[in-house]
Amino acid sequence: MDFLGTNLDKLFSSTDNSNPLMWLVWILPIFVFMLYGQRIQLHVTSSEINKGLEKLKLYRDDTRKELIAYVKNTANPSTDPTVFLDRYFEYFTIMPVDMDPNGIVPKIKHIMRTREDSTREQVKSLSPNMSHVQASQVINILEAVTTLNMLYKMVRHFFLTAKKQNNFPLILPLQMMMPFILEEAEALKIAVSAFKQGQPIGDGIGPMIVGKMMLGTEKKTVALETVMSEKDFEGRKLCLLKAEGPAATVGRPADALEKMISENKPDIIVMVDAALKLEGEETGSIAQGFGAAIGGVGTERFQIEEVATKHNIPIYAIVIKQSIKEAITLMKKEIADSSDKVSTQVYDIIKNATKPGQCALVIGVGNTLGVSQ
Amino acid sequence: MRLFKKKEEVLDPYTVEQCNRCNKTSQHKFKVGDYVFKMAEKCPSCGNEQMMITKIFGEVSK
Repeated sequence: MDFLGTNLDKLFSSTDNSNPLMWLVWILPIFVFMLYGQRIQLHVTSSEINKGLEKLKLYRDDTRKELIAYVKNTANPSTDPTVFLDRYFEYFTIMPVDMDPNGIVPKIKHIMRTREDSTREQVKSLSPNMSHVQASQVINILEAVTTLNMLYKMVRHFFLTAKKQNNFPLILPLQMMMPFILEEAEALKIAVSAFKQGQPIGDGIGPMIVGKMMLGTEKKTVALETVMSEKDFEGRKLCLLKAEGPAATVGRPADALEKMISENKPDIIVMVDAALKLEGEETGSIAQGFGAAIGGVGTERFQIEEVATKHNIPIYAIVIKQSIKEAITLMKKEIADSSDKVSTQVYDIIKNATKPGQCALVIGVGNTLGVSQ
Repeated sequence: MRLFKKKEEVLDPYTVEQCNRCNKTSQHKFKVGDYVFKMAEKCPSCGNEQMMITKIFGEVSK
């Protein structure tokens, strides 16, 4: 090839080491990447995180609008609820000092209860027309929007700080966490639809199983939004405990257990709950084990473990595996179909671990939205 | 950068009702107001007993 007197073959010839142009072609990029490599990578990573951030903002804004419309349509409040709801999205909880962790659990419980009680009262005060079930749904949607708002603000904070300081190491953990954050955010966004329509969610499988066992029995309220009933099973006494459905609540099973112990001590406790599956595990698969199967910040679990240890009561657990998204969105068929198998396992545990005349407490743990008893 | 693109999954909600007497089950689209263990309409098969909602779940729409 010979263009305008220049021989390109000769110019880029790999055999001629003295060619200055060839030398530049190889050396220049090395210097460019040495000096600006991190900035180039920061730019590429930033654009990816920015896309995720835009998604988070969209999810937050959409769910906020959905909640405001839901409150306006269902409760017909006398005043515009937007001001209250916008103020609530910015609510925060300061966890107790943990330099001396001794006695920290009652402090956490006190703070969380204060938040729960205050939210319930404020939501109910929005409108006298709001039913108990509707108020519980609003509280759950409110929590979802608040979490989305917090996720958006945290990601934005790290993203802007990293950009402002051209700090590549700061953006790396954010890039790694982004898929997990987006997965949770997507789940929260979809969950709002289930909460609005009162559909059972994956986490409600525990209350659904115990609710079925409760059918035809007399229920009494034993703690806030928590019901209990009794029935006989092959000469044993069964005490059945769950949150009061079909409202969107998890109840207070630990308070109920403490109250029950003073009147009637069970010989075993069986807890049925949803549990996060590992990647590769099947949705709706069942696992059996020991210990208190209950999530949350840990105060309920602490209280149940304390009572069980003090009175030497063995705790058995059955969990139904699901992903975080499946746990807070409409219950999947695989999860609902596992209920009969789990019931059989609960009865098997009771038969094996107790003798006729003894008492077993079965607790259905989880959010009982759309599940009665 | 994601190596594999995720397939979006949309769930259609269904309600399953069962008759306590003849055990006949029927499945229909979920309606707002449905909840598990709610007593529904009379059983179309035996005509005596009220049906009860036994399950509400989501199935992946095809």
